[in-house]
Amino acid sequence: MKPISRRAALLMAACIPLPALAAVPKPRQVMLYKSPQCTCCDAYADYLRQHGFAVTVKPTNGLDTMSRWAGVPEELEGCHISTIGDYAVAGHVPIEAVRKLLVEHPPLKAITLPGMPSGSPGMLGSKQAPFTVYAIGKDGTSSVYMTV
Amino acid sequence: MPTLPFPALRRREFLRAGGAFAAAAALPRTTAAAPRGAVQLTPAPASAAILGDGASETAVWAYGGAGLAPVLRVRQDTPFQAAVRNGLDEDTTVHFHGIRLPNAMDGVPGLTQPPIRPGGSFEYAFTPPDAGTFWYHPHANSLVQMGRGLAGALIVEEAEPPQVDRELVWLVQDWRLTPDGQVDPHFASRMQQAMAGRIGNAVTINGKVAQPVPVRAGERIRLRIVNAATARIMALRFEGHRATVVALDGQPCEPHEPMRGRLLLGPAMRADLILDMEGQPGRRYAVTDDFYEDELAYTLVSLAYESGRPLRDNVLDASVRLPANPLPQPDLAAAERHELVLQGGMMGGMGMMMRMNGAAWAINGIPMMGDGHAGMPPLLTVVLGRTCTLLLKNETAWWHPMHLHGHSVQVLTRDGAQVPGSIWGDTVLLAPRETVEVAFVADNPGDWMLHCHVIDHQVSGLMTVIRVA
Repeated sequence: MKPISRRAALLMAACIPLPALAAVPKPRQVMLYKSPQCTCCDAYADYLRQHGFAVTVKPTNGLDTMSRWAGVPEELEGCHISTIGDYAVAGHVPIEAVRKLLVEHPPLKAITLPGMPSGSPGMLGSKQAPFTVYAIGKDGTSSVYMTV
Repeated sequence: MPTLPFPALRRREFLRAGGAFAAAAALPRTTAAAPRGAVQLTPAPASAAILGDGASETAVWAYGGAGLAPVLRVRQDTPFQAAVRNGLDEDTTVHFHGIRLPNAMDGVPGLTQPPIRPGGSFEYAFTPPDAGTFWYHPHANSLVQMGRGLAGALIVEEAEPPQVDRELVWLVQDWRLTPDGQVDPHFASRMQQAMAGRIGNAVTINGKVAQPVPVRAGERIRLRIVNAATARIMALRFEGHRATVVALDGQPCEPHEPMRGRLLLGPAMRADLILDMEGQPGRRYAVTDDFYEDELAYTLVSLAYESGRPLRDNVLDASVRLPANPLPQPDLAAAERHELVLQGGMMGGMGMMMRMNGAAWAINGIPMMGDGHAGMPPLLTVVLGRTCTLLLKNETAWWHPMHLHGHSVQVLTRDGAQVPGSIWGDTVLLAPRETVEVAFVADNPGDWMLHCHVIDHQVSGLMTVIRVA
C-alpha cells in the first residue's frame, strides 16, 4: 500500500506512460496491463503462456491512457495491452500475428485487434469472421497488418 | 474547507474569493442580482493546489468560494435557495443529488429545465424534507465538468443531531492527471466507457490530496463521506477503528459496522459514520481503499492522534442513532412491479451494438445517452402515489451505482436474499450479474432520470426516465 502523497500522485501519473513499452531485454517476456475487473484478459494471458511466453499481469485503471501513449487510435483499441519485445500488442491478438511481428521485426509501434471479438484467443464464443489485426506505425498511422 | 452557513449569507466573503477567478469576474453584468438569502454558486475555471500547497496548481473548474466548492448547509424543512451563475464557456446545470425536491429544481437539462447558458443564471429553490448528507454537481457534460472538479457537499442538518465532539465532511474526488499535474483532457474513450469508466490517478479529500487528519483520543467524530468520483468505487477500511454506519445516502439506518469492516461506496454514494477515537495517542492509523486489486490499494488518508491526554477515558455513552426522515413507507402488497435489465459493456455480449449507434450500454434494450436533453421518452409511467418496485437486473460484467432522481428507495433484496434492517438510498450499487430489488412510493410527480453514476456509463447508454404522474 502506498500513501497518495503529491509525489506518489505524480509518480502514478508518470507511471502510466511508456517505460514498460520500451525495449524489454528478453523478447519472450510479456507484461500485460489490464483492467482489474476484466476477466477475459487473464484468459488471454494464459493463451500467451501456452505459447511459450512468460506473462506478468498487471492491473491498471489507466488502460486507455496507455493505449493512447502506445499510439493505438480509439476506434482500434483492444481491451488490454501487452508489451512484447519493442512492441505494444493490444487486445486478443492471435499468436500468428504476434509471431510474425517478432520474426519480421517491422518498424511498427503496435499491433491491435480492436474490441473483443467472439472466438478470439481468451474470448468465449465461436469465430464469426476472420480477425483483422491492425498495425500502428511509428508515425501513428494505422493499416491492416494481417487477417487470421 | 470552508463551510457556508445557511441562510446567513456571507456574500461579501464569497465574492471576494470568487474575484480571484478571472473568468468569473469577467462575466457579463446582465445577470440578475441573487435574491437575498440565496447561496451563490459560480461554476467557472479556476486554479487549485490539489496536489498540496507548494505544488504547482492544477487548472480546474470550481463553484467559487475558497477551495473547489463550498460545503452548503441548510436546516431540514427550511427553504433553501441557490443562485447559479454560469461562468463556463458551455452549458451547465446543478443537480442537488438525493434531495427529494420538485421536478423543476432537479437540474437535468432538457428534461427538467433549460440548460444554463454561458453567462446565464438560474435560481434553484426547494425545502429539503430529509436531513442527511447530500451533494451537488452539474448534470451537463458531466464527464468533463465533474472530471474537472465541479462537485460539492450539501449537508441538511437534523433538528436534533446525535451528540458528537466534532463533525468532518470528506468530499472525495478522483482525478485523472497528466504527469505535469493537469487534468487529462482526453475524457471520452469508448473502451473506458464500456469498461470501468474514467478512473483517475490522484484521489483528493475536499479538493486536496489528503494530509493526515489530526484527531484526539477519546473524541467522537461524525464523519460524512461523499464519493464524488466520476467512476472510482471505494472500499474503505479504518485501521484500528470500528466505524459505525448511521446513515447511507443521507437516510438513517440501523447503526451497524460495515460488512467485513469494508465500507463500499460507489460514485455518488454517501455514508455517515460515527467514529470513536479509541486509538493510542501519538499513533497514526490508515484509512485505506482496497476496492480494486491489492496492487492498486492505497491509503486515502491517515488519522494522526495528538499525543496529549485523551478527551475522555471511556467511550461516550450516547446514542448514535439518527432521527428518522419522513420517508413514505412502501405498500408492497399494492405495488406496481417493474423490471429493469442493465445490458452491455465489455464482456457483456452486446457485440456489434456499441459499434452501430455509439452506445455501450442499454436498459431493457434501449440506450439513452448523454446527460439529459429534450425528448427523452419515459420507459415506464408510475401512478402518482403508488408504491413501485424495481427489479434491477445487472446482466453486465461491471459494477453500476444506479441513481434514481427525486426519490429515495428502500433496498429490499439482493440476489433474492432479504436485505436486513431498513436500508434506503438514492444510489444503489450493483455488483456484476447481481439483481437488486428496490421499492419506493412514487409521490413526487415528474419525469425522473434513473442512471448509472459511473458517468462514462451514463453518457453511453445506461440511463432511462421514469415518469410519475
